[in-house]
Amino acid sequence: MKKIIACLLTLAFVAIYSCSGNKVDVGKEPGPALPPESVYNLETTWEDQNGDSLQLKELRGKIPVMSMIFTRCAFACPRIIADMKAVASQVPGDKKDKVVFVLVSFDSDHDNAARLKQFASQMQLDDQWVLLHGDPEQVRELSMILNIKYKKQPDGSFSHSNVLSVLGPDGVIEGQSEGLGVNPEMLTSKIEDL
Amino acid sequence: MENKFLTQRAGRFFTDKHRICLFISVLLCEFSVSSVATMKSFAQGGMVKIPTGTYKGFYENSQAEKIRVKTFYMDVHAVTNAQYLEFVKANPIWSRSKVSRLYADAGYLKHWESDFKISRDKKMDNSPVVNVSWFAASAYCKWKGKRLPGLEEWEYAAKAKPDHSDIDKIILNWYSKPNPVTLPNVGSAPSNSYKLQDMHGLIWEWVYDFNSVMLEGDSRSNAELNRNMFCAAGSAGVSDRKNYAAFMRFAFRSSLKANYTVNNLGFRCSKNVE
Repeated sequence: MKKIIACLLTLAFVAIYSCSGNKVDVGKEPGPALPPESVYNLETTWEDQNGDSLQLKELRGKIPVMSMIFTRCAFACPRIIADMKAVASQVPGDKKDKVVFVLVSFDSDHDNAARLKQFASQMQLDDQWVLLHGDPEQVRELSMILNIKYKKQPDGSFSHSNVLSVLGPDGVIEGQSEGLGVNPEMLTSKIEDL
Repeated sequence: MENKFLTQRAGRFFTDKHRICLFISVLLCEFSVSSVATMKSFAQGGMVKIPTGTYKGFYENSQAEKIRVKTFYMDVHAVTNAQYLEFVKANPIWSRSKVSRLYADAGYLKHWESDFKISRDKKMDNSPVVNVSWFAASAYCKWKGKRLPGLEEWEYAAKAKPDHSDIDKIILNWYSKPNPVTLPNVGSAPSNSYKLQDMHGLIWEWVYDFNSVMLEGDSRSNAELNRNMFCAAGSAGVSDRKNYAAFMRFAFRSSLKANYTVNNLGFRCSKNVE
């Protein structure tokens, strides 16, 4: 009898121990390692329109739709935002809470948190939108990853290509559209598959 | 040092007016000294100081102002395989088997024998390293306390005439030949008047903002950038239509992505003048 009790006790201990052990593991590990081609491997820190700092990997698990703009941009940027809104309006229902729209500024000199916030309200962007700025070097690096080309002009404005990227939950670029006024279905169909 | 010493001593003997004159002459003196310093730094750090100046951009339209480039240091040679191996040994995440596909495509260092070995014979040690991505080149320069040259800096520095020959002839002659199996050592093409070597004639080179050039088929509809260069009017916007070599460079740059590796594309580093 004593043996059985000892046995049961041991089993109970093992069970509790392994259980609590599991819990700790879950808390410690955010998930499997990032795929090597994930944008979330970038270690740089950005600031958003609310003045909070953010690393892109904090978006893990979401489905970001990303592009790059600058707030003083008169022509192409409002149009690319319109294209993103078109995507927003066609996101399938079950993906709505996962999709997040990310705009990163080219203009490290002028676009700070306050300016981005003002721009967001001017463009009527809700809290599904994240607007980021950082130093010129990290902006150049991100542009390389997203295949966006740009050049600062002597007057301080930026010439740039217009590329929309959809990232998967692990930060891998799953789809891109280039140009203005593109059919949103190209991207929404990708989002559906994720 | 000597100049400072002179000013200090002179200060005791001269009035303020004299001091201003002296200051100006010291400045002039400083300028002449700086050219000597250039020679010195060439010998020591493997870099030369490129003076501030302007140049006519290749693809700005003819009314555009000249492009102004501020003084900076530039490596005399492109980075060699042996130098790059030091970097890889110190930073194994940049070895062939460890590097992330985000940062370099599958061709990364494919001409090397293995992760930490260039080749059995030492032939390639002093040839320029190629098959490196923009990210890899940037990381190397950072490790050295340097940076990649800007596109405008590179073009400005590359415009300097070689000592005794016609720059266009060298370039077109180079373009017309296929790549040799083993690239020649750095320093095999003539140096230009800044004492930079191999700016043309050996390899293509990465620049920091290579992605500021857009010449894709969609440059009419998409990018506002560089429409002067290849839009409906042919190449009417280009400042020097006979500069075939520059057409090639800009077209090549526009075709690149930052993780691409190419078997005749390497790099050299630059540095700010503090």
